[in-house]
Amino acid sequence: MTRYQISRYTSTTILYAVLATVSVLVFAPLLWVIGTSLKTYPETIIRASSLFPEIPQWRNYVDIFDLAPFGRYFVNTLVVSVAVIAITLITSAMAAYAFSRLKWPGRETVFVLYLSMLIIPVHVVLVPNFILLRELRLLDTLLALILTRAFLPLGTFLMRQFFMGIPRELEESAIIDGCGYGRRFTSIIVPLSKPAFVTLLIVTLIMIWNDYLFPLVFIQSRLNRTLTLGLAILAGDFDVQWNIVMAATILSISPLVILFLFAQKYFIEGVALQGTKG
Amino acid sequence: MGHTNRKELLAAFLFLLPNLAGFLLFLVGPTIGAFFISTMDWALINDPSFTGLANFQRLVNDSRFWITLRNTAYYVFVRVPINVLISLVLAVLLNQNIRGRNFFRTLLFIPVVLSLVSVAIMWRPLVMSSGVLNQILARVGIGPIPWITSSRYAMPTIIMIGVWREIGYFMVIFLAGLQSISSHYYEAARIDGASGVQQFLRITIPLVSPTTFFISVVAMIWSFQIFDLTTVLTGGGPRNATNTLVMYIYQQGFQNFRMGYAAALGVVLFFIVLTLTVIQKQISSRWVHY
Amino acid sequence: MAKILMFLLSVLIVPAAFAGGGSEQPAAGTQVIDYAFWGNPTAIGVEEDILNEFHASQDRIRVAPVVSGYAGFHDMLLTQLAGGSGPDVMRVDSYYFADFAELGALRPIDDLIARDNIDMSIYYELGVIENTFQGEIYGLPWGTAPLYMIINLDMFDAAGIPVPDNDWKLDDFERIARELTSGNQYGWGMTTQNLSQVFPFIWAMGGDILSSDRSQFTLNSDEAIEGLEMLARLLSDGIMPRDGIIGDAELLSELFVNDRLAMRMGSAAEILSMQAAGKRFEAINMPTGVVDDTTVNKSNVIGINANTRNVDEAWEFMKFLRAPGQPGEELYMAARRMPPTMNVPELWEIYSGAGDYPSDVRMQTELINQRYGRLMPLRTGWLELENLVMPEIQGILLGEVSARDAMNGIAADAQAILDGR
Repeated sequence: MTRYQISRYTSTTILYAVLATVSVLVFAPLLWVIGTSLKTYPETIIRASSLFPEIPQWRNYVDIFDLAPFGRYFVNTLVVSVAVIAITLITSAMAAYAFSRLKWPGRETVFVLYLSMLIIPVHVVLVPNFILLRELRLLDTLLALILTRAFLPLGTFLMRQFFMGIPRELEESAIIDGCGYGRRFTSIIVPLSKPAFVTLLIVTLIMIWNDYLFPLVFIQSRLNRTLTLGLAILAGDFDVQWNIVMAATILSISPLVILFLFAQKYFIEGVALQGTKG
Repeated sequence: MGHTNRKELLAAFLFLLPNLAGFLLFLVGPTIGAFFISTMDWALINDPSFTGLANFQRLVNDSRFWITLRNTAYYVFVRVPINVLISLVLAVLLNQNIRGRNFFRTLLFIPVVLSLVSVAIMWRPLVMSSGVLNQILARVGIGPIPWITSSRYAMPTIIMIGVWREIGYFMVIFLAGLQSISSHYYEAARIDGASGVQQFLRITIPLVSPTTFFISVVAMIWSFQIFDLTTVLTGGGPRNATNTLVMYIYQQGFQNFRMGYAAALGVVLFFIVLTLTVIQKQISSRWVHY
Repeated sequence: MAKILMFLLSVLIVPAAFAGGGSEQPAAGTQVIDYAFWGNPTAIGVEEDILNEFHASQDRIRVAPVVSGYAGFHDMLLTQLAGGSGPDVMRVDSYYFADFAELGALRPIDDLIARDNIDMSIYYELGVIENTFQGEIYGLPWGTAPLYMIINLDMFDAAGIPVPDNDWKLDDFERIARELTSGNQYGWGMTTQNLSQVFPFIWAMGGDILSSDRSQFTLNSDEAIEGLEMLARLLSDGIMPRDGIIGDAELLSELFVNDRLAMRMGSAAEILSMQAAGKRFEAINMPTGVVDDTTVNKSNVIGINANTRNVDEAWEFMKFLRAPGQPGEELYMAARRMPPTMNVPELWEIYSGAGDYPSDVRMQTELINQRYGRLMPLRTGWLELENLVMPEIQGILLGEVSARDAMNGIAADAQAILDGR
């Protein structure tokens, strides 16, 4: 072997060693939680650090449903996530079209308003939104969670950036054919913007599915809770044993993890696109 | 105005309306509202009374506000650089034609899709004094480390867990940034005899700087909002060591019923994030290579 | 794209329709009221049984349960009340009672008590005291009970230590706790979630958190500091598990059930969960000191929302639950849910029968009521005070700050809360 080959060999070994170490560090806690969720209660104490249960207790996953209506929590989370995604995708793409393709007075001013709201932490509007929702009689409804999250400026910003990159010439043939704005938007711009929609969908999904503070403040009834809120409350309660809490945790994260494993290409490309287009 | 222009104007209005209406009602309006409410004494159950800048005066003398602000700053300014650095290094390692690249990428990305609440619950039995991590460390003769039962260690532990969850997210964005760097630069460097480390410092870091800037801004804005992790894992303790600004907003507004004061805290948060973003923008215009 | 959106919309609409179909329509002429309470699944089951009995006893009022575990319960109530809604009838922990009354969330019920000639003398006096704010009664007592010292008989027996008698002193407590500490076993365990666990030690030293008129902050007095220093010593000597600082009551139960914890404080709820776990244990009063009354005695309240339009219905239901001669008390007892809150001796037997643990909870409770029990100086601003004090107590217990420095450091802020500033 030449010196170059040796150094290349060692560096590859080091590379894999580093990657393997990091992967173990990242993944071990997850494995441990899965293991704990299948242990008996005494096992969680006596064999706390072991990754695997002696005999998997699948019952733990059934017992959760006696403690809290997790099925209902799942449906609530799904309804809120899907609604926010649908509203965000449709309305921000439309707004982005107006910002990138149509000329109208005040366009730059309004866009600066969107830009400036981009950096505002949503917590600034926590109290005012609570009061607003109270006046609208929307507190303790899923609609409260949907409306306060569906119009974040990120969507419009992201879509506008993407639309700006679509060559205008592509629209020109449609103009010649006499297509109106609506037609040009739906049949030319939207089909070309699939990556941007995927990005927005993924980013919004991760954010909404996992949201805690807004449900904590805006939701009061047990049956209107989301998975994250229901899980946090279950974990905070006395009389709930660790194996059950861990089973509930796995249950609450599994929909998104499974979706990720099946559609990881979209998740990773979607998130990656933010950096290059933002 | 001609006929077509009016048509375009109408189209723009219709395209914009759905989003703008919601944006104004649930974001812009409430932001302005936050400024009004911050001048009031209001428990929500009773009627509001105007108190001018009293809430802001109170805030200046409120030691717990300063503690939560300090904790939040600690979290942001330690966590963001660490997170950015680790994600960048991992991205560089993975940006090579190696076997199992997708496998590692997928694995590191998984924590990203977990809610912070579930992350906190998962980590809790690991980082307790008698927890799993200390049990493992004891076998090699280390510890016990008071991960979350000491006000010195608690915030570093929170940072560690925060980084754990977000490594994959920023790594993926960095990977995309790295892939847009032309391989010519590296070939030229190799011909000049530059080592891997030199290539990383002289080519990768400058050329990936727009991505670094984007990630820093996003990570900073997110980090300022830290609430879930600390609320569930430590409840802000011990001795307020992990009590954060957003937790304090929640406590004041929805536990102590001081809506005006909570709004004032929100206004302060607004100005802090605004200032820092402007500063980052200034720095970036000097350092970032577009 | 359109297909994806259609798919998303259909995914949205189908479950929404499914989720909305749950509520049943009440028959004409009935009034539905909301009743909020906390509990674990067992406790919730008991309340549901009681609601069924109530529905069977009359057909004018239907009660809809609003339920949560304890951890999220009061935050839920507070945001509901701030949102201008809230249940018609609600259970409120005594910690929160004064703040709820002052905010105008609860309705004074003196007029209803007078109208229906409710004999208030049948309740334990302390229950009525903790439901009274500025001279007016705001609810009927629920769950009036001490916070007992719970003793792990297996660990005491193994070490050959007898169950302490009722006049045991703080020194006895410390000696026993030390004797029972070894390896991964702890003599004493506590959490820092609220002040109730700190009181017995401060009281035993002769101190208190507030002056007797509850207007001055006195946790920086020499006596109170002595009590806090003792607790700090227990932690630094390894007698108390460090994880209690961040942990919750469940952590203590876990240690106790696995014979790793010899002594802890516990309410009726903990007694029931230890019974359910089949533990051998006793419940006695806390160690005494310069005074005998060192055991926290507390009550909760069931009250009526000040803004309800259904006052009569709410009151009718409340009477069923709590008033003398009504079925609620026996129903609770039959389910072994709460220790008696009225002086009906037979009910005790249901609670803890022969051969059960604790062996004589009735005698212990009566002793505490007569001699060893004491009310916390609860008042408005309690939660805010606790939010201020508890983090400092965490620091003291962990040995990060001296008790004197910590308490002097927050004295001015604490006084400001008491003065309503």
